[in-house]
Amino acid sequence: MFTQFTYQNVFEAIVETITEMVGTKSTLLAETRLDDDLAMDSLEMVELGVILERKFAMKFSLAQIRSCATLEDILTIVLESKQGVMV
Amino acid sequence: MDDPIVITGIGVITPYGLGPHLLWEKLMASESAIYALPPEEVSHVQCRVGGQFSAFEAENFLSARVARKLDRFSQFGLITAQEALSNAGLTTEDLGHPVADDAPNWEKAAQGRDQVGIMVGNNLGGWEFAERELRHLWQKGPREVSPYMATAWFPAAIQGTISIHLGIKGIGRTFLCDRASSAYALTHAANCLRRGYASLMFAAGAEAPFSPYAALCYQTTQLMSQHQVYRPFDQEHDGLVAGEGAAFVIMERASDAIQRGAHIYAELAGWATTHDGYSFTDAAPDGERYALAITRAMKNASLSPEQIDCIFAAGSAIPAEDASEVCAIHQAMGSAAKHIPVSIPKSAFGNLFGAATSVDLTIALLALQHKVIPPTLHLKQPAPGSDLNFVARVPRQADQLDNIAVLARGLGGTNACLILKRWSRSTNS
Amino acid sequence: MITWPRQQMQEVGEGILAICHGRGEAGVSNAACVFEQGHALVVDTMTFPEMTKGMVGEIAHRNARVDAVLNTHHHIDHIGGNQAFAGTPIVAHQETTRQLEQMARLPDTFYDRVLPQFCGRFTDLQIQLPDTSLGQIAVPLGGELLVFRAAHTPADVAVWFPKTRILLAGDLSFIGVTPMTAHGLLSGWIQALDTLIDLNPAVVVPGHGHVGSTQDLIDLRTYLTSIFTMGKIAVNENLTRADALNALDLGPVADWIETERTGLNLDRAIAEVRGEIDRDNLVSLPPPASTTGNTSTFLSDQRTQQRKLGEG
Repeated sequence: MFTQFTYQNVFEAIVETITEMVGTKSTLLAETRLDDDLAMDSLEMVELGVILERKFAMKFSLAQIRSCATLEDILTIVLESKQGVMV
Repeated sequence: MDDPIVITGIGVITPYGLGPHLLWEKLMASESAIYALPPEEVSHVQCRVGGQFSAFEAENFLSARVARKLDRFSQFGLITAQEALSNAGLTTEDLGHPVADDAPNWEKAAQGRDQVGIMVGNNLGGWEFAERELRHLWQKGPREVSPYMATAWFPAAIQGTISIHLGIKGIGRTFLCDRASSAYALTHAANCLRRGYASLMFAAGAEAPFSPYAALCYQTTQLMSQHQVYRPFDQEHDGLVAGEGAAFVIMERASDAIQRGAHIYAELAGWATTHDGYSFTDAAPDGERYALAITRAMKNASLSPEQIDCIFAAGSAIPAEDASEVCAIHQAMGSAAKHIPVSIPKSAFGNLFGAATSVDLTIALLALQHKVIPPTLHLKQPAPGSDLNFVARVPRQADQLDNIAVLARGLGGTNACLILKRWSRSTNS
Repeated sequence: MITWPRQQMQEVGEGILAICHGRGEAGVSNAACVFEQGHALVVDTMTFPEMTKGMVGEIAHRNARVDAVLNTHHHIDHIGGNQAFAGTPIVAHQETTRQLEQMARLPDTFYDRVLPQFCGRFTDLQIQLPDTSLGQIAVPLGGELLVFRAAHTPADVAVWFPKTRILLAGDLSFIGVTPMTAHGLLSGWIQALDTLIDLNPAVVVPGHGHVGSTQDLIDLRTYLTSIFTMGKIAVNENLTRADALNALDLGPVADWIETERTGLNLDRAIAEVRGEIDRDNLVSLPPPASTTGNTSTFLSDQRTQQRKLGEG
């Protein structure tokens, strides 16, 4: 159960998730682009959303996930969701 | 008219494993790849054996990222497509061609890759994937269904996946006609080359039929063996045994193949398809339309029955189909029927349904190369009236092996015949 | 219980079944079966009756009756399975039968040493002697029996099918396996191969190794000729065995198995050149010290030579 919602912890959790999904060996940074750098397609974004929901016990809409262009963007929606459930 | 269609690359997965060398070695050893299937998967059906590539781990060949999104049948297809490409001495870069400066933008964007096409035969699609996701849906809810379900399940998934991975932008089709699916894929690929729709064609069949639901559907057709042995044309034949795998071939016009110095396996010299128009589940007993497919293919290949050195029969082991196949061969071959060696190599590893013909064709290419006819296993005593020259139990070296006819037929009465001719530079270049 | 390498059955022509045994390593050999309208001729029976099970099964599948068994020569790995066909006429050249009568008197321990992988099994092996002469049988499918004296052994029989140009060569042909000349004569074997090469067979079923063709007979002839020539040079120029072996160019045979036989073959060549053996006197030399297990200069010479070939 993920509890420590600090910038660092959440970021590491996101990096771990995406690394496993795409199987990359390179270091992921906040500015790493999901599309251009990691070639993540729309279905992978859906999958990512489901995995993050499970990991952080939150709900994200498809539109939210799709709006993320970088890892930083994902970090932002996770941290902002902590304040309340975004539908 | 005369720029023959030739095969320049092969890639194959069978229940024996990956690759043509392993396949040939096992066929020569008369080794069966049909074993008992995992009990929990077949406790609800009567046919409990099959040809399974049980040691297959997708991640030995594909990255986890790619493998995860594909059903097993697509994994087989992608792997064998890549094998065939490199077997043909090509890379994905080679699939592009220079485009004239004044060509339309879309053509320039395609970088000439619109000259490369793909034809696939498949019967079941990705039922293993689908069944698993249905289980997730009903047991855990919609959010547990993989987002890749939509792209993993449907039979055209191979066509799509390979086009993406190899950068193919030309003509593409997927054919579903039961055990004749890949026969259609192969004939259409050849037609595309002959009509100038493409300069290089990937043609294939792929099948991964071992899902409990699919097994049940097959059981309902009552065409599967109940005695756990696949014995085409034997007096104790009692139906199909399934097998899994895939085979891809690369086809080109001979002039292109010769120009790039490709190794040519053989010429696809003639082909034809017909339909029985008889019944949804039964083949026409008189075999007449089936015979017509064989006759037309021979005519297209400019060959007479006496010139056919070997027939790979469809050999479903369904008694009525076997009987009508014997009729068809007699009608098409006339007096030569008693002498032409007939074999059903798939008896060793199962019927790969949509992939059956593509694997048969690959084996025929190897047979031409080695001049040996692989045997029909489990054929001890031919069924009454099956008076053909079967190559039974052990391989047979052939003094003359230049022209092989590969037959296929599927439920609903689709019939096909493809004829391979030995490629000889001296007579053809 | 003994084990043996896998057998592979293959019909090399209609009605002619070849059974190839492993890679043809020492102790196992090929056999064949010729079928015509329910009749069968078995050609050689391997080392033990149990090895013939596959062949016997295939004969049963074809509902054929074995009319006769032909032994191509007297070596144990070709006749040990005769007992599986007890009651059937066993055919051989009279010289082969004579050799077998002598062989039957050898102690089991002799074979335990020669074929240690089957150690202990020879105690129970009953050697079934031939009882029928060559002239008394008809070979199915129009096959002809070809007899060669002082080649691989004092008498070797091959079966030739002129219509289909298929040759069942027995141990006159080794493919992928270094041949053994311990009981034969190099010059006689070379002459035999000349005759067989002239037939230009499309298919050659050797006594050891995979099915081949005329080229494989040519390769073997090249090898034997090189050995014989080196034997002459060794005698004329008084070379040591080590030097003679080192100077040998094995050609296409270099990657064949059982390479240690080359040294023994050279010994036979030297003996022939010296007149110690000839067509009428093929008595085996006492085995060199190496075969009793001592590491001799000869064996280590051979290994050195192999390393050199690999380094090439």
